[in-house]
Amino acid sequence: MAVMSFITVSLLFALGLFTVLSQRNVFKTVIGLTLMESAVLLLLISWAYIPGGSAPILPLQGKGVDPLPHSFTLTAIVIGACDIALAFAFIMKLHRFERSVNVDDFRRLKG
Amino acid sequence: MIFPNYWMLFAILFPMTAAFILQLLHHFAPSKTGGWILLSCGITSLLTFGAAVSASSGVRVLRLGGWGADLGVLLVSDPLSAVFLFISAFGGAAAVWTTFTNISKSGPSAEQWRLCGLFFILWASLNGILTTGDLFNLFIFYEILAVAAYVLTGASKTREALEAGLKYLVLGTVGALLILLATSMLYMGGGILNFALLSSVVGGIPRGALAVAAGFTIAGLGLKMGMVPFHFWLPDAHSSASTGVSMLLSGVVVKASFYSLLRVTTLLFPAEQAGFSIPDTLLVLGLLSLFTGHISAQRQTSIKRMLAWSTVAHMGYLLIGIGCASPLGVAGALLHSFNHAAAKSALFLGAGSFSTLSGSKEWRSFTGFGRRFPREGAAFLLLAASIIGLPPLGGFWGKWMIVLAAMEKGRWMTAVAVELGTALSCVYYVPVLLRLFSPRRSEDTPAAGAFHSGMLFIALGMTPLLLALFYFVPSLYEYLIAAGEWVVSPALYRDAVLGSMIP
Repeated sequence: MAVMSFITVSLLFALGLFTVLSQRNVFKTVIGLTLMESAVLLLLISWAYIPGGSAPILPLQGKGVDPLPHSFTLTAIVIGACDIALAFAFIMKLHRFERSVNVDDFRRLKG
Repeated sequence: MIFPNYWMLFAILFPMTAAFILQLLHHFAPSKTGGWILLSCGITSLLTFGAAVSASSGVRVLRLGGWGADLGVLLVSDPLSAVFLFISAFGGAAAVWTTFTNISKSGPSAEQWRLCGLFFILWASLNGILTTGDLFNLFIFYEILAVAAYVLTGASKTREALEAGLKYLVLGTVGALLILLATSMLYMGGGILNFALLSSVVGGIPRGALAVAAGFTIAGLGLKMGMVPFHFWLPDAHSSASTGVSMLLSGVVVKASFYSLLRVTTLLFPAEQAGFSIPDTLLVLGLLSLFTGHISAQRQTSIKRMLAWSTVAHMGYLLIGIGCASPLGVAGALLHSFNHAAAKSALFLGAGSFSTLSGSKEWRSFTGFGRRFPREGAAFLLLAASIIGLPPLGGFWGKWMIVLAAMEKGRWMTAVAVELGTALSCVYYVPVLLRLFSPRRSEDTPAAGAFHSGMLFIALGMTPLLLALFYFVPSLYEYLIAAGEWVVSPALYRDAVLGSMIP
């Protein structure tokens, strides 16, 4: 179970990083960022899971799962949404200048 | 000092609150916003300064809500944070003041006023990074800082600024995710996120896992601080932003990343645990940054881009300082980060004012400005000489301590490389200075026009002379060495933070 989720996390993170680095369409770059983010959150969540654990609400019944990573994940999701929204805002503004969403058209600052 | 533990809390809370109140104030009473911005700037600077002074005399631990280190959130400031809180107090105030004087010319209803709120959000999260006691809040404050910095970079809405902002955003987010990945791995290994507690259980984490976490941490924080090979965004972002933002980004924000790198690597990845030598890695990356920055700066025709590349090079000096892993090296890096923050933000201010006067960012258009504005020209000369590292000025002593630390460890090549960096930076700063003081008057420059924020620039131009005294005042020198010893021995931090837990 844990090994499966670790493999998924590694694949998802590598896929996201590859998308960010290789894709020309800037929307796909942003999708790559969200993939990487999901991978990290999945890692946090899968570590918090205990087989047979119950929801960590007092009074505890049996073994509770670790509540701390869940709250981290919620916080990180909010932060990620903020980053993505800002990225789209930048892309919209740049689109008004370039009429394109290709990274090569955006890349003018060099050296 | 009264309430020594609470200054750092209010240094975070006050600017964060002021940011949102200023937005409302601008909406309902636009004509009064200016005064309130200056007042909030003064109070924030004062609170940050207070936090720095209280931390410089000892470790301050604040348990939020009264919970202990195992359950609650701690704010910790120690002699290391104090150095960076001083930088934050002065650099933040200078940047807000510059932006304020620039936008106050455009009238109270202009859209640019909204930016001031972002400055305060950035300042609050900066103070948060410098005083946080655990790894997850470090990530949270980093993201608040980063979002504010992305918007500020793109705020002038020119094409270059938007491109730089988008680049900064994509690479900054990748960096933040690497930091979060390292954080979650350390949590899996140690089961705790508090720096002091995690540092005491880090020995139980398998060596391979710790090495991977260390790699991710260095890559993530390196992306944020513009370390080679993760530096691509830095020259774009720092050169395309408006003057006040460049001052803040290049002077203060990269120093916060340097602080977290220093804190996290020394506390959580002790040399014998991580499987590879972290100081040696940082030393090599520092040398790479040094040469890449200095050599790329030679090719630049835009003054702001040249200064931004010079920032990459100076991040290299700081990394070499901590790469020596001795109290002297760390003390040199601390002194140098102070010098660089003061001189580089002032140089960005001077470069911005000269560019506005000549109507171009190219330094070749600055012909004779040093003669037209003798006092500002002299200040620019002093600052550039200090950044190059000419002996009597402030910038020299930090580098000198780093060179001494490298020789102490028997790393002669590193010491030679640092001195070579000084020679390389002469190659690109001296032509700019010659152009500034050239007797020719170029035909296309306008005759009229005043220097923006001239008083502030002259005041900042005095800092190299003041900082030169640092090395000669025994108590300040000993303070830096003590801070260096404090940093290289994590057990001291652990005992101080956990010792204060006992009621």
